[in-house]
Amino acid sequence: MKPFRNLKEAYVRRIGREMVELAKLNSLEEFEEQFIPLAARFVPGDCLCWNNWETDWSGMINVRTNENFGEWLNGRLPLFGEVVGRHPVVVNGSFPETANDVLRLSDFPGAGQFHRNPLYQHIYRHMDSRHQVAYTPCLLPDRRILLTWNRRGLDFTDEDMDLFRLPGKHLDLIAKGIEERRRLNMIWKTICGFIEPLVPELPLNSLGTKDLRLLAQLARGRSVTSIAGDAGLRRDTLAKRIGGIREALGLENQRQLLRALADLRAESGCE
Amino acid sequence: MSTNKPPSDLPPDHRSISSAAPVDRGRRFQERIVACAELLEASGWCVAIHLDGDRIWVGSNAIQSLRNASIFHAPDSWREFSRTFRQGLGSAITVDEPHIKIWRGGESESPAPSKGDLTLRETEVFNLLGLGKTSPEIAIILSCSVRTAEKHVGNIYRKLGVRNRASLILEAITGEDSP
Repeated sequence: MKPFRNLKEAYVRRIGREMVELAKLNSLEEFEEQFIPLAARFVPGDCLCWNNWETDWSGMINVRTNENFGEWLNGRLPLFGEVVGRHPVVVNGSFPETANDVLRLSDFPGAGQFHRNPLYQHIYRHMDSRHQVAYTPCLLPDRRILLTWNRRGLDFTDEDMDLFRLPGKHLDLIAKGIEERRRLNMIWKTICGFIEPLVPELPLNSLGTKDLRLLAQLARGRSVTSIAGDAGLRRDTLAKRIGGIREALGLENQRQLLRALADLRAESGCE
Repeated sequence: MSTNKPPSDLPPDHRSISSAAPVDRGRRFQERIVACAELLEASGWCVAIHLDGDRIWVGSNAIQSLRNASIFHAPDSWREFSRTFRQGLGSAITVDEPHIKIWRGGESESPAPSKGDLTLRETEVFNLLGLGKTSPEIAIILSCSVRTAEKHVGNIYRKLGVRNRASLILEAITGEDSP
């Protein structure tokens, strides 16, 4: 992968600073909504499209643009699909290459012809896409995220293409982070949803990593003293922490806590 | 304990452009999930989790149970593990989600100590302990003094060879179900 040699250091850092804010978002939908206006500020173009594609490139799931360029497309996706089928990048079989690098429409034979196609006239002019670059920076389990920038005036320069690669890189990293957190959240909810009906006294959602590790030790039947010895803590310190866990779980005394742990064990049928 | 592979680093291209914050957040969440899985494992359940990429976490009960079913050949990937793990486990599987599996192993790694020969009164006290009663509560239920109740508890400690209330109660509860 080429370094961002054409870009000024300060500019790269500025994009990074603003993009990292988006990494805190919790859903891809929010990210999509906020990424587009932000990226549109950094890259000179008219219409910026975020396209969600099937992972095997077989079709488009949906599209979102800045300044509502895409609104006209609502309900016209099949027609749009037909136009895309005649797109020079697609016709040349180069579509998957957009996953590796930014491709420029004008670099492909047949670009001029494509502009004269009536279907293009019908669809693409609504998005000011006389000149276009495309990049597919991100592959998720359920989609590919394809970015296209469209411009009605000047064609894109090599510097522009380098510039477009940068927000794409951020998009990839952030989208994967969001997707991963969503996946981990599902695992967490599965575990909690599994334990709760078995032992309602253990609402683990309120507990952190250390608390859970401590409970695991207790569930193995270890005494507080021996756990404290291994962890290099005073017994009282640990007893106090267990008290905190007990309160977080809404239990009245430590015996109820041990009882709950024993119930969890009994359900496993391991004896 | 687990078949963790070292985490794969981000491509250099990524490292140069972004803060590690979201990645750290993911790691911490993973640790919390694993801690929860350890609690289940400590309670005799078998757990396997898809951490990320091809990293998987398999608890010690789970490894034992898969060995018993002759289906554990140190899977290289979660995909491969998901494909093979159903063989031989059958009805023992209680959770079969895309990224987490929980099942009953049928065997505990630390067998509980035997109940020995408790007297009738001691057995009563033993059962009350299993219900989470304290010594003063037991004294009231059995209409005896607290000191007597504590004496019974002490004798039970000695006979079962346990050294604290925690293991005693675990014994009282888990022992109930055995024949």
